[in-house]
Amino acid sequence: MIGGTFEYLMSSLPNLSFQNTEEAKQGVLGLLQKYAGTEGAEWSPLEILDQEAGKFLPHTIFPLFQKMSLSHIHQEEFRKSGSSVLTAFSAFTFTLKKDLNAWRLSKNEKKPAGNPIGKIMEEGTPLEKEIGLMKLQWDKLEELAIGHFADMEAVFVYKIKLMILLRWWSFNEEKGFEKFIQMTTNQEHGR
Amino acid sequence: MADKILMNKNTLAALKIELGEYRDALPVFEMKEQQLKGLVQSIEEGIATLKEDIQKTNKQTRNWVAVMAEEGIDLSNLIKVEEVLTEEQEIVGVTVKNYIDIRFEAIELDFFTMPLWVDAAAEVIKDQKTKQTILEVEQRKLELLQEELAEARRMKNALKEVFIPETTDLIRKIEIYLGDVERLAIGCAKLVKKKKQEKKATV
Repeated sequence: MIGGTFEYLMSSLPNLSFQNTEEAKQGVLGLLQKYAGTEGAEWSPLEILDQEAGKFLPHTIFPLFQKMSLSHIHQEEFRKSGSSVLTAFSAFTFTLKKDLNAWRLSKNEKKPAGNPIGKIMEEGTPLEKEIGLMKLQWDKLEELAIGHFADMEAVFVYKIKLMILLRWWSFNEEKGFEKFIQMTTNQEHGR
Repeated sequence: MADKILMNKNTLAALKIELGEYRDALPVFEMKEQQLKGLVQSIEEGIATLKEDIQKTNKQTRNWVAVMAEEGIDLSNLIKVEEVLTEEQEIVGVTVKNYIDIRFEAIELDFFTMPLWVDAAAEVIKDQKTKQTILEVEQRKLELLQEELAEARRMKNALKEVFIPETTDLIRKIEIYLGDVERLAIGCAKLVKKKKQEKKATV
């Protein structure tokens, strides 16, 4: 990968767009794998990104960058980070999860009007709802990314976007169905 | 039945009692066979419906099951069967188990870290596990009743095709034999009487 400033880093990373097509997936994963070379053949896309971003990010902030995960990004340490984008996104996710929490606790009650997740929760399969929630997060990131093209904040946005895409791309009907059947027929499970 | 039969009146009497018992037992086994046939059929229908229901849910779940491939979420830790409640029942002489209820361990989900799809997955997995458990109980019941049905059928056929005809045949043979013996004895007695009379006349 080209060395130097954030600009070099950002311009050398594959472009991310909110889509789940084999072409988009191979484009991103293939390019990241090329950057990693043979040395990083076993690394995951996030490890490759961490490796590259680690060369540019301040040492004080890199551990938090490395620690980021979609399931824990709502936690306080991220809400009080040194990155404005991460702080805002963490706060947004915290509110989103709080709303979701309330919805999950009272599934059958009608959601109050104006709730951002209300529409997503109204209909659709669990898969469609997950995609809807990820789109909500993606749109928020797009909003937060305005004015950040090649700075530290852009790297944070990039990683969160990559995490969202990797999560989406991990959804696999065959694997999921195999797990489901295993769970429902294997009586050793949880007995 | 013994290989060698004593051709006498005692045997004949014993065989007639045996034949009576066989004839009494035959309708019992026929009725048992009928009852078991009905039960087996209704359980088979129930099992077929249950299997269809499981397949239908599998098909419906397939639309969104992709989410279950998400890494880092172990559903087996979230859905655990605590106990399966059954009760014993005696049906036509067979002790079978009937399904009553299934209880799952109450595991609280951390809604902040667990994705939304886990709720729906837990619900459908519990539902399918319940159906699978009922299916297993019903299949075990079916096995036991089918074994009993086969036994009742064997007994009915043995009585109808072997024991009753063979005993009837033996009774007929002994009766013929005893009749022959009786006629022979009468013939002999007549002959002896005739000889005695002839001897007397000569003297």
